[in-house]
Amino acid sequence: MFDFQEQEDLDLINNRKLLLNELELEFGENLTLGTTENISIVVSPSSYLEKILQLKNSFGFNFFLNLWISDNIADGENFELMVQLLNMDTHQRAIITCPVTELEPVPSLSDIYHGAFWCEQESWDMYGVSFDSIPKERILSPEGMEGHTLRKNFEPKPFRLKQSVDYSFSPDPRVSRSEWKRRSVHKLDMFGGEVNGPLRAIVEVYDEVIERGRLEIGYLHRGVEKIFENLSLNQIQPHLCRINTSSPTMFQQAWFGGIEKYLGVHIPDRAKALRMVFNELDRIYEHLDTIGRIVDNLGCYPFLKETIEMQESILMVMKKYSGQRLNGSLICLGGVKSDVPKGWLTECLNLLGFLEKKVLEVTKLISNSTLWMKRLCRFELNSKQAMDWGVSGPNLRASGVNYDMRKVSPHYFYNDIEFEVPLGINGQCYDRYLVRVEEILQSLSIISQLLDNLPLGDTKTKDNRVLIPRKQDVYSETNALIQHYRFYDGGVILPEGEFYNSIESSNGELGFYVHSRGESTLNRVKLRTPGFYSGQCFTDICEGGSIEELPLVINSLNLVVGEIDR
Amino acid sequence: MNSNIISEVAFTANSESFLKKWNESILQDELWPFPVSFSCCASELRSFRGMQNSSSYVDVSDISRPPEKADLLIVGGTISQKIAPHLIDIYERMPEEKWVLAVGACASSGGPYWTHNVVQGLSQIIPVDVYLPGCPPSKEMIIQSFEAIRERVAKKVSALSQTRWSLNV
Repeated sequence: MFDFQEQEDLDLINNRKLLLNELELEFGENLTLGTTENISIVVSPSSYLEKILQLKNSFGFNFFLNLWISDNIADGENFELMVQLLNMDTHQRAIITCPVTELEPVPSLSDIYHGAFWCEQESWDMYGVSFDSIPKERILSPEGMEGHTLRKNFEPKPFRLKQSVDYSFSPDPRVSRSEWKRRSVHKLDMFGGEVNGPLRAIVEVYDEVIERGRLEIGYLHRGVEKIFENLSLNQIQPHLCRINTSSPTMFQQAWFGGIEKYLGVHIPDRAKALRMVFNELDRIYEHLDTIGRIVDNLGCYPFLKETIEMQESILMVMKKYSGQRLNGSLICLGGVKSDVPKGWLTECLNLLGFLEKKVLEVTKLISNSTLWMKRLCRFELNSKQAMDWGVSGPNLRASGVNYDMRKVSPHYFYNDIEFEVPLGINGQCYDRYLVRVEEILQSLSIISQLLDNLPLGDTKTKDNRVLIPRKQDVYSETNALIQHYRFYDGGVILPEGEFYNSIESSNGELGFYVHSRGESTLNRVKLRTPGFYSGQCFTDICEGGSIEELPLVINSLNLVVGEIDR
Repeated sequence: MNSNIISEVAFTANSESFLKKWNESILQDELWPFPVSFSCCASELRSFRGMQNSSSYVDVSDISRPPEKADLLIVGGTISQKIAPHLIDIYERMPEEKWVLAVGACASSGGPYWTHNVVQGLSQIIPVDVYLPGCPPSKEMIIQSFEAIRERVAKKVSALSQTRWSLNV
């Protein structure tokens, strides 16, 4: 029998080879092939914009992933600008590197890829590298601070917070100046739990209808990337789950999965399956959180209680495994924390049954209700806008783009598991809600398939480079004692080089870029968090709404501020 | 609010004293909180909100109340330099008698974030009544902390009055 799947895979490999050949002809020596999915291209500052345009138009790199500055050269003045792009047909990722200095402004990419706007503003905030046509304003750090945080020679000084920040909008080119002057500007502080974290929305209103709007972020900026540069690999672990507390194991999976790939550590099958179970449980938890918040914004208090009850049931199962409700460090380097306790699997299966019944019960009541449809069938984000902004995950799929990293570049056992990728049509709030409901049901099916075929064996690797020895061995065996001191004194040391690893988290593509100099601490860590890009598309979505609906718009995108601000 | 209190206070001639008594009777019943919560502690406060029923001492189900009408400020989560002035503003807008609860390690002491941009504890900017440890504390712990607040309210002791007393203001 003819196998379509295999044919598709062969086509993909051929297409990718063709693309790489073309790229090699064009860039020659400047192109280096890294791992199978990442290539890196070095360009000169003079041809930077031209090459990016060429990559977008001729080579099909139409999805913007990330832009950041890295000080891989250790002199404190010269930096490297890195842009990461994705070709959605061949799933080829490319990192374009360009040397820059703080003296000369770099051409801005925000016209080619809209999503680069906040990234470029962040680059000025963190490293002092300025871009053409990008205002030199703080985006994450408080206004009035001196210095640039992520530089290696940064020293914090006491400062006075600048209170009078100008929030006015520039004149709207679509309307006449007199009409524009009749609009009023409002600031909306959402600090009390309306949305997932503190956010400020600034909107321009005419006749109670929002004409333009944008978000101000930075209220929960904790400097996670700076912290990561000063800690050893073991010490980073507790910080990972506190970035986005609704899905802690996603960050751990992206981080530890990347390090294991880089070091070439193989983890046992049972650990892989358990990691997938935790990730999918987190996905359910976060989607339930989103639905609960939408329900809360519409004032349907009984349904909020239902969703919170479902979330509680997930937390109780997590607690049974790790001892902590939220933020339990479930995934560790080289496997998972421990094997599952007795009776945990039965409890997990019971949970799946409970959740499926409850989710169907709740969504049956609200999905077709007229009030729900009337309030949610608005705030459209079409597929072109979504791709321009770099929106990924359920928000992108709600706009009709079929891109799920679990399907296109599967890790672990996602290849062997049957599940479907739900798609929306219009990209309205209602589509985003429906996609999330369907993804919950798909995740339930994935977990039940995994638990049915859970492999037997160890849950931690036996690799000496990353293994923490057991305590009783440390007291009796010399080798274990040496390993113990090596692990807790210096930690795991990554060899010199760089890598990027990404997974499909509950909000979209979540990635870690890591650059190491072969020391016990890392040189540069950059997070690609999906919320940073979904937050920017708020500008396009909020038009035509009223001020009371703003939390609804933000919650339908599921903006987690801890993830955006880092 | 039981009907006895209404009948008790309704016969007073002075409207000002009537309002005062009314306010006191409300205070005896429950505190009106103003929750400001950011990161992981926000999810725990949320799950506390989900399990809450009407008989509870502190009612956080209605979050649309302005700070002028609240008397308990609940702060959970990391306090960055950028949000600190807003917290001071909320605190100053609250009425004269007020209590403050710091939920979680970050609000109590800065937590694991020893960076330039994180305020190392809520007490650096406003006086705090009750600190609640944990990262994040469970909802049972949050209920217990309300008991501690209730004791202080019964004795009419607050961190603000104590600082005033010590400064002789």
